[in-house]
Amino acid sequence: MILLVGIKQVADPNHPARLGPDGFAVECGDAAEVPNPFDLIALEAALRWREAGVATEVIVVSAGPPSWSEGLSTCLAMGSDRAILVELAEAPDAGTAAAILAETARQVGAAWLFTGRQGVDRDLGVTGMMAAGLLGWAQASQVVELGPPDGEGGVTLLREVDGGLESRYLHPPGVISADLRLGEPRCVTLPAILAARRKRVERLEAAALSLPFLPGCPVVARREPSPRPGGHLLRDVAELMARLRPEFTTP
Amino acid sequence: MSRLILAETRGGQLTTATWHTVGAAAALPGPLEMLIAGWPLEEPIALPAGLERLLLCRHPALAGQTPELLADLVASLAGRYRTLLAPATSFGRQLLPRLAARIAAPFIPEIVAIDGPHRFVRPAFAGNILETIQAPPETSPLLLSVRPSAFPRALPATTQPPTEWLAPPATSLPHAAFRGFRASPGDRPELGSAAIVVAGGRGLVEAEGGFALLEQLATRLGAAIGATRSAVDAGLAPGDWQIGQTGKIIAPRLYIAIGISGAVQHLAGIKGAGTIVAINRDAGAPICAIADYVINQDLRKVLPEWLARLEAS
Repeated sequence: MILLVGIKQVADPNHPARLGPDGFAVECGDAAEVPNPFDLIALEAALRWREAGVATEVIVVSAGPPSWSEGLSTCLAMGSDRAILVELAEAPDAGTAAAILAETARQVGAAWLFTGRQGVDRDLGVTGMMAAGLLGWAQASQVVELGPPDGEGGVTLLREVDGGLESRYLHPPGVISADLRLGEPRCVTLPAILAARRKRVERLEAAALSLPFLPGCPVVARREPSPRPGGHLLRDVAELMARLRPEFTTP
Repeated sequence: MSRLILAETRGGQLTTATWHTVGAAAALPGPLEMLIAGWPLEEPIALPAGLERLLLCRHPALAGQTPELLADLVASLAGRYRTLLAPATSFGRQLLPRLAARIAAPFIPEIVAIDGPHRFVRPAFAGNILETIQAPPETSPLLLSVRPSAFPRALPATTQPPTEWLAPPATSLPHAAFRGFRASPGDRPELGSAAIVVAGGRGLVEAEGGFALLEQLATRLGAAIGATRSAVDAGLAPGDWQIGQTGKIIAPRLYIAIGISGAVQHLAGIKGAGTIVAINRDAGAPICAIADYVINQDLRKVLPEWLARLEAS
């Protein structure tokens, strides 16, 4: 069984994002580009299935500029069998990314597509489930627990939803998006990184794929939210309770 | 020009998030309709005001409002509407992208403001950047998911709108099945809509019994309880108490942050809060810079004292 994992590069989320002098471009300073943390959680889940003998091959795919092959090398170092970069001049919008993931899933014969819950840059959280819609596959988003496949290859999983946990049963082919608590991605060792450099990242031209058109909505402006005005340093609990009294007496 | 609300249900009624989604729809022109597709559904179901028509689909196959089935159902109706809106909860987040891809419709997720019939604002980069997105004016339908905490709650209806019953679609994916829902324990106000929230962070990991004190405070104040990722990872709180970029986004009138440093990812969840109180012995913690009131003392001293004073009053 083949697993495909979608990997997006994002600016290191630990660097604050700010608007540049033109008031539109987002600048992340000298933040490095790293694989989206949720996508690495998804990859970890796929690798564990392969190690459990459930899957035979884990393939990672990115759709973006040539520099994104760096992130794919990290994924090879983590243990992926193959890495594919679908080359584009710049990072695609969510619809294009979903179309590329769906088409790649078809081409490699994947039974499952794993993605992260959301990219921590734009916080859209749509690519995985859009791919599910394009493919007509079963889907589960915000997955925190993934059971092993049963005799028919179906899995019971848990999703973190508002107010609790939801249990779903999916039969492949399906799309799974990984939430935070699905698992901690493994660290890569230096020998693994060096060994991965010898593995080739396969490159495909996006133009060579036949992709459905999904209409995008452009960002026409950006702004930073108004900062909150400064607060008061209080002496003690008594003063706090006095200040908060209106909160509890106003109907 | 019509708009359709895709309703999220729980326990047979509309969720609070759905009520706030109707509140958001008020900013858009045109007649408003609602689709309620789920199982079980109570009779009568409490409805918001302003609906010109109600579409109802009630069938056991819709338990859990499974996205595969709902996408098929809505796809057959979508062409009648200019805009479809759903709450940006796990319900809307799993349904709308699938539907958008299925019918090749433009989709703008997680909106927090409406700036005209075709311009919408949404947060990105953990809420540090607000994007204004232009929807293509000629394309119908447009899909929107709505951050409930950013919009007011609709008022209740005083009359029943005309109702059309729909048959559920034949299931194309019989093996994508809802198996059950396990609610998080607790009988407190719902975190997503509570007026007062008390939340605990890393500081409570070291304070023995700290979370128990926080829970007592929440009870006393009639508050919901939240947590940061640190506290959840340390096993002090269940995952759905997490507030932040990938947890709950909340906008309570009063937010009390106890032992919380204020990482970017956490602050993303409280940008809409009214009054923020920070109890943190580290004056340099980022949360202190955005809080309205700060007590720069150890929570192990502050919490018991606050509880004692509440007890005495």
